Amino acid sequence: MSHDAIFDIKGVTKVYDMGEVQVHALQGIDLSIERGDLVVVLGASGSGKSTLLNIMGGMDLATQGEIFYQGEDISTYSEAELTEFRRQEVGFVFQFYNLMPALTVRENVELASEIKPDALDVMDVLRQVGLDERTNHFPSQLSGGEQQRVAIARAIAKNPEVLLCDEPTGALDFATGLKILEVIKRIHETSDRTILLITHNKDIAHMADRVIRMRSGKILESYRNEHPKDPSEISW
Amino acid sequence: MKTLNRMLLRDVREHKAQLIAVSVVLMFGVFSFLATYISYVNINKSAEFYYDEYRFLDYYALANHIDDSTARTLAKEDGVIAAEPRISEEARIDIGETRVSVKVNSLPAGREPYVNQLYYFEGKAPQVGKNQCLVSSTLQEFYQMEIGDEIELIAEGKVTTLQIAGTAASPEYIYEVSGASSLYSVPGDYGVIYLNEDFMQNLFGYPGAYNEVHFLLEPAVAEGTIERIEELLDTSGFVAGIERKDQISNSLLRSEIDQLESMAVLFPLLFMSISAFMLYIMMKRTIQNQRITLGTMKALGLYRKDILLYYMKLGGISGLIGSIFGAVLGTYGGMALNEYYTLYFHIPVMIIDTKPLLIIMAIGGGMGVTLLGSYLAGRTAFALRPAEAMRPASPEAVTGYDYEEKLGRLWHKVPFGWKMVIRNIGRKKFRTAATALGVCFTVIMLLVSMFMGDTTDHLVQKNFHEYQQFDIKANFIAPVSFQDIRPLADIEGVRTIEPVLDMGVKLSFMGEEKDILLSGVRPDTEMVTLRDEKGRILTIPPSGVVMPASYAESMGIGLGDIINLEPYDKRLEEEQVVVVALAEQYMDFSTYADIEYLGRLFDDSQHATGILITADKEHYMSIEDELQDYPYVQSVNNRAEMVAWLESMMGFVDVYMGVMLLISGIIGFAIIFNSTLINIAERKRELASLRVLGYRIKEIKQMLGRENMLVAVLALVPGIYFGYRISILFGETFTNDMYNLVIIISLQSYLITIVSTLFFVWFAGVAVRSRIHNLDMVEVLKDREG
Repeated sequence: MSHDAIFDIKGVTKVYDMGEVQVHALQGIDLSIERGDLVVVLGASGSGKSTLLNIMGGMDLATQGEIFYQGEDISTYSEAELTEFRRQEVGFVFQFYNLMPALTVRENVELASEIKPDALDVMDVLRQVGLDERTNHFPSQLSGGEQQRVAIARAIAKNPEVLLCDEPTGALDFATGLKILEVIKRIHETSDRTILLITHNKDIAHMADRVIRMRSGKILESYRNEHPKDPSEISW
Repeated sequence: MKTLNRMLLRDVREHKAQLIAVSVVLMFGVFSFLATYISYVNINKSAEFYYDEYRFLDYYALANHIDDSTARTLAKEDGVIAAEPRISEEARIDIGETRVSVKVNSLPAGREPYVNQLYYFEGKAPQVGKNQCLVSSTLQEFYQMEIGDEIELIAEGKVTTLQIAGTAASPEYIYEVSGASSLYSVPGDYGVIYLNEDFMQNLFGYPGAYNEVHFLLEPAVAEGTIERIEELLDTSGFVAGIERKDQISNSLLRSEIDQLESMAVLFPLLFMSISAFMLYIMMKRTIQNQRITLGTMKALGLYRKDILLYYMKLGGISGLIGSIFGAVLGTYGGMALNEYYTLYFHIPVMIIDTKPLLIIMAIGGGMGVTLLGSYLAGRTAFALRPAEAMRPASPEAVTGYDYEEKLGRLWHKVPFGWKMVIRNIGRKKFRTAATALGVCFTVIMLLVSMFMGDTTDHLVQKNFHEYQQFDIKANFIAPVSFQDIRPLADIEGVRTIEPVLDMGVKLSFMGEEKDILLSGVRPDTEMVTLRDEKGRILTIPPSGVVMPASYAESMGIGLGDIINLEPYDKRLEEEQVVVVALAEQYMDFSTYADIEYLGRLFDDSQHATGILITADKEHYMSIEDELQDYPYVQSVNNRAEMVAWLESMMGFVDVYMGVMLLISGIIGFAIIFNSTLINIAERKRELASLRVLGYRIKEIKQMLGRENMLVAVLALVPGIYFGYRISILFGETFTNDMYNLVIIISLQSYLITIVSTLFFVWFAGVAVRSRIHNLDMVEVLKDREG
């Protein structure tokens, strides 16, 4: 295990049993993520990147292998321990936002901040994502980009150690997607959070400290960007 | 978790139609239970209270001549709390122009009876030395008599004018009926009056003596005590001893209350079980529709218990609202039913209590059912890992049913619109099953609410139109010789007369005992038509008896068996007779034999205790009046009046069943409505896709309508089958010694059930149409499937 690794993943496999067929989503992943890195996991649909993210975030269990988070093997965690892990350590951002339709912008963020004692101030977070003017709107009254910003605010309001973003720009147009990436970059710069962002868009990889490319449940390559780009310099 | 609570409130608002439907189902489940059970408990309690407070007898004995000293000896017997002698005779009274048969009972000199204490509605006990009487409240009500009014007592060949001193009721006469041979008395045809003891002793010729003793007994020693009492009464000419359970008014009351209990338990139990099961299905579907929300909550790190609580609260809110409204309605319904029962049961001290504990239990039960339903329904969803929960549910396995292969060219002839409907029904098994179950339950509830009406109609038809053929029956005070009744045939309007000999006997066979009525009729009788189980007409055999088939079955008696008959009248000997045939009877059960054979068997006499008459309808009234003039006639019953009266009595079953029918209709509709609502919610994406493809709203409505109708029509079959089976099961619990219910569901009831159910399905479809209209294709399809 490298000295400042926040995640150390060893021999992780994931097999989905679909009745007659078995799908090998992950096939022996070995990976170490350093604390404070902005990591982009790149891969086409079906490459296993979402599965990896779900397992790292305690949303799913690996079929085999070990996942050390800050030295503790979370693959042996019980359901209750995994909930606690997600509650204390992880913030999620999903491709389809998954906001609570019955809650306003502010309430969606409060839903997360309420469950953690060292949560960030809700209004501060909303200001950070540029939504402090729209706190009383419901998700249905927001654009896709706005909804995703609420989702990001909700994820960071808990003040998590790790932010996991699953295709956060996947459902957005270029300009809106860019804004989201800028928000993520800013969060990264202003905190020492580790951020994992998965995408199929290889151009986004330019903003990462580290890039991991996956295909068919395996890591194809992993490299560090010596000079990560600002999202404003990226286009696709 | 205040944010979660706020979300809950908005979720409730969002799902209000669905939650209201759930509440309604539960509300009527709770209502039916509480209303019927409260009224049953109250009526039962009232009867117990009345019996206790007014010291209803435990046992009474009839004898020819009981003197004071015997009565005093009896009172001192071990196990006897009180023994009170009295005189009790049959007589008639004239109220204005009307002659009425009455039971005349004596009141102890200068005090109230201790056993069977009287409840006074008005006035007071007759004064000693004056020609005064008390009349029973039912008689007073029927003839609108007032204190101070005069009536004529006709007894022992004398007419005595009596002044009414008061009206009263006794626990002995909750049902005022004359005896075993006429269990059902039409109001106004029979009553009870009370006279002072000395007055009666003089009138009926019992100087210083009595012919009945009423007892209160220690509960533990009753058996042995009764034997000793009967021995002690031997020298007084002991005739018969009757225990409380066999006392006629009490046994009628008990059988009514037992029926009420069956109704109060069975119907609500069915409704509550259906409600609970449907709640579970509804909650399961609601939670399934929210799996993404549930997954997100888990991903955020919300504890399992918080999420579980959230959904239990969501279900619990409908549970709470439904239970509370159900409890309020049920309490008032129960009290209203009690008011109604007060008219029906002549219990003057009716306890109408709200039963807080029962209400709390009902609310708790209703809540418990929803919470448990929500918990069970959510359990599988909670068990999912968040990553799994947030993925749309994997498509249900394809049924594998290849319509094309199985149906061949027939399948090609099915129009495309219907093909889609059939495939949808086959593909979404859980959804189809949920809809079908809703329909099935509705059919069951409707049928079960209707079978009682049909069954009682059948009972009346069988008993009064097929089995009993006479028009008028007169009972005599004492047996009369055949010769003496011949003049009755000459009364104007009488077509034919036949003597009848009714005897109360204890039947015993292989250790089993039963109190039955034995009726002697002519072998060629035209007054009753007895049929065997195959409907073949039976003739009265020259010797041996024809038994009711239901009695024979319950006692294990077969054709050719020899049974033992012990007359109530202890002056007669026990006899053994052969069972020659078994007759299907429905009520007014009687074991028939040749009247002359019975006479020869028991006392070698040629007597009748009554007469059966066929007559012209227009002469019924005059015949009845004329019959009353014969000194030996005790009571006269007119069968048409009996039928009318019985049907009015059945009114109470009708009212109850009407309420149950209404409840089943409402619950049924709520279930079907909810099911339709969830169907739409589940298929938003599919419907939006069809709209995007260019399907018209009308076509989508048509597709959904066809799907629902097809499922409903298919579900009618098991619904009708189980409805019928459950009706039979219920019917069995109502069958007793007084009624033999043959479960009949009329064609009309089936039609009403089918039409109402299909109407509910159609109407629910119409009611949710706005949701298809308001479907925002873009919004729905923009969201990820869930």
